[in-house]
This record gives sequence, structure tokens and C-alpha cells, in this order.
Amino acid sequence: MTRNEHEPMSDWLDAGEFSEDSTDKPATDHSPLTKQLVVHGLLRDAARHEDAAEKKRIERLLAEIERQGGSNNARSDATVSGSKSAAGTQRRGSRIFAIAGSLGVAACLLIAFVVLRPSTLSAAEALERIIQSAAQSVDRAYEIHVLEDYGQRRKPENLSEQQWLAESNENVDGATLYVGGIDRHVFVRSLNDGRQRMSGCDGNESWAFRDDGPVRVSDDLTRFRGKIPGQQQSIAFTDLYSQLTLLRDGYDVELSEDTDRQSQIRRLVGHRKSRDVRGPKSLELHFDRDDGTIHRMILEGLPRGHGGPKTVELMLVFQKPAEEGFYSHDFHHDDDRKIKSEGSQP
Amino acid sequence: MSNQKAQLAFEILARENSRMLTAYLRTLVDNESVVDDLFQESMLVAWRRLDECDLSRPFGPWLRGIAGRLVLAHYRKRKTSPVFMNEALLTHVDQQFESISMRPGDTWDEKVLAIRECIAGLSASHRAAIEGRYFDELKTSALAERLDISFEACKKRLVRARGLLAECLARKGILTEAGT
Repeated sequence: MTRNEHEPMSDWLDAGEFSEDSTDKPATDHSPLTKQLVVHGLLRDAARHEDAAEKKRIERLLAEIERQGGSNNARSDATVSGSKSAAGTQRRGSRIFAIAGSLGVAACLLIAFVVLRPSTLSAAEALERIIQSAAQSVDRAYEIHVLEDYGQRRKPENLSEQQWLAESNENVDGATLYVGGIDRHVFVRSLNDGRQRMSGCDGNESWAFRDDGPVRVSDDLTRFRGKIPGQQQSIAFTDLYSQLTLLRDGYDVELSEDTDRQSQIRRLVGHRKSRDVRGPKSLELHFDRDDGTIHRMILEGLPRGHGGPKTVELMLVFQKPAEEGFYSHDFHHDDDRKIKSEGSQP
Repeated sequence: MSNQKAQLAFEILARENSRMLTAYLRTLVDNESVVDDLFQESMLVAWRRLDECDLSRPFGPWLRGIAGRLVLAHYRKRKTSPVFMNEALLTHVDQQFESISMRPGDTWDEKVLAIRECIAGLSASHRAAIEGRYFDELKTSALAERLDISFEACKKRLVRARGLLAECLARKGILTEAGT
């Protein structure tokens, strides 16, 4: 490609300028132009893609089709240039639904306020009950679901490209977190290539390994917490007890009103007091009102940091005593696996 | 096909092709809200004209055909267009997207995963240019300042870096030589 040929492309892609003179002679050799353009598109897409936004696009489309009566013949005479912006139409529709929805929510809240008795359990008491429950050496397993993803993942400056590629390969959605009281957890997630990565802590040492790699162990109990949702925000729910205590000071917590007084499960909502508090913007804890067991947690607005999950949900999938030694690494691999000890982090 | 079945079939096709269509539009249009509008419009036109689509053939090229015409119409309406934006270029872009679609992998992201390896394989200076421009979303002027080079040198470095990525993707079989 000659300099003259790639200049208009570069002007458009990198300087936001393009010729208004359509009489300019178009390039005859399309191959370099095409590749520049396609690479540009793939890069833009890789950087800007968000699963949540993609889902919304599809939902808007399906809602628009539904709104049009679901008939693909109804407007078959519409021409491309004459057709209205579907997005614009949908935005107006969304506003109407939003207003109607808000009125509905307001009505429900009013009914709840007038009809239902106020809770006898205060938010502070509820939080203490949850914290005490987390301190018990009771073994529980939570399944993690990514509800919303930033998608746009940036390489942290402190990671090499190789480390970053390895980390990008991990998939938190569908991972399982086993917790067994203070400083005892096992976190299992799959890699995009089908392999598995495990990390954990038995109260004496932390550890991590892949299917085919050596076991790395450290006496720094927080050494291998990476990739656990909320870890980078100091709200790592691997150690429920110590992390939940952070909610006492850093978050405004409120107990939501009972909508079903027969239900055993109550909901505690926390909102970060200020940007100085490191942690998700808000969180929800659905817990047993009697023993404080957390059944469901939603962490919303995780700081963008490395990209990745924006909102995650942890669902209690079972609660039963774990086998002896479950939280130690040697429970999970063959005896001949190579062990690499790492010292405490400075 | 009953309307309900048609709607269900279309929903499956739309979900399968949404990532590809978004990437295609991001290739041809720089403004995200226009990408969003053209996505909706392309899909709705495809839905209205589903009866005209030969479903025994791949849906992606047909959908890109609709989207490409809407892109050209968008530029015509604006009365300003990149000088190289014409039907011939769209044909070549379509060939590259078809090449990507044929790659192994269940999802679009799996098919284009290699681009991250290619970025990692760039020299530090080219990688910094690509990361700054796309992943940190810097304008070229700000990127030039960050890299401590002139605006024109920055543009050239980006062109070169994209060229190197294209070569890498071609070696991995993601991009094709078709249309040369």
C-alpha cells in the first residue's frame, strides 16, 4: 500500500477525519485497506465488548419485534432508508415502561409500608448475626454467577503479557467457592481451554494449582486470592468472617422490609459510604433470619480495575460437613505432584 | 413456517450472529450509538425479509449484506464518507468476516481469540500504541503525548501495528488473502 493509499484510512481511523470529496479516487488495491479496517474493527470490538450490553441489544430487538406484533410481514413494505430508527422507537417505549414500572414499584412500597409490620430485627443486629454465622466452622459451597461483565479487560501494569493471558483465560462464571469458617476455603474455576484451576487456604497456608501444573503454596494466606470476585476490593468472601466485619464501618446497611413474613430468608442491603471505601458499590445479602447463614450474595458495581465482572451472584448450593483435610491442597491432587513453596509477600 | 416458529428461529439466528454483526458494524462505523442503531435496523430488516432468506445457506453473509447497505445509506445521509467506503471494499470486508466465521470455535470470541496472542507478540512500542489507542481509548493526540512522539509518527505507528497484527492473524488463518 502506498503512502497515498493508507493516508485517508489512517486519517479516518486515527484522526477522526474523512474526505468530504467523494470524487477522490478510491483505492484500487483493497487488500491492505481491508486488513487495516478489519483489524481496527476486531480491536475496537475486543476493547468495547460487554456481555451485558450485547444481551440488552438482543432484548431490545426482540421487544421491538414483539411490539410490532411479531409478524415479519406486517411491515415488509418498509424501505431501509424510510424506516424509523428502531433504537429510537425502543428508547421511547423503554421510557414508558420505566415510568409505569416506577409507579408500580412505588405502589408496592406504599402497600408494604402501610400494611406490613416493621421488622423487629435491626440492620445492625442482622449484620452481627450474619457475621457470627460466618465465624462458625460450618462448611458451605457457593456457586458463582457473573450477572454483568465489564468485558473490557485491560492488562494491569504489574502483570507480564504472559501472566495476563493466563489470567484472562480464567472463567469465574460457574465457579464454586467452598468456605469453612475463618481462613478456610477452596475455590474451583474452569479455564477457557477446559482445564481447571484451584486455589485455597486451610488456615495455615494458601495454595493454588492447575490441572497440569505444580502446586504453589505460601504462608501468606491471601497470596492466591486473585480472581475471586471482590478480592481486589478487599471484600473477598473466601474469609467471610473478617470480610463481613468490614461492612460495619464502610457501608450503610439496611434491612429490607419483609414482603413475605412467612419467609425465613431476609435481605440486607449495603451501600458503600464513600469512594474511599474499597469495595463493590452495593451488595445484597439474603440470609436466614434465625441462624444468619448467607444463602445468596450479590455484589454490584465491582470496581473496573482489571475489567471482568461488574456484578456477581453467589448462591448457596449446599451446606454439609466437608471431608477431613478438604481445605488442604493434597486432598485435591496426586501425591506425586510437584510442590513449589513461595515465601510471604513483602 | 408458522409465525411463532419463524420468530423462534429468528431469535436463534439473531443470538448466534449478534457478536459477529456488532464486530462488523464496529469495523465500518466509528460511533457507538450509530453502531447500536444500525444493529437494530439490520436485524429488523432481516426479520421483515426473513421469507426472502434461503435458510439452507449461512445466515451471516445475508445479514452482513443488509448491514453493509445500511452502512452505505448512513454515510450517504451524512453526505460525508470515508473515500474508500464503497461496495467493493464491503465485499472484501465480508470475505474476511466469512473467513473468521469458518474458524473453529463455538462463539465469535473463540474464533478471534488469537488476536490477543498477536497483540502479545508485538514489539513493546507497537503494543503500547495498540493498547493505548484501543484498550485505553486514547485519542491519537493523547496517545502521541503518552508515547512522546509526534502526531504523524503516532498515526504511522498505529498503521504499522495494525499491519503487523493483520500479518499475524493471516499466519494463524484468521484473515485470508482473498480479495487481494
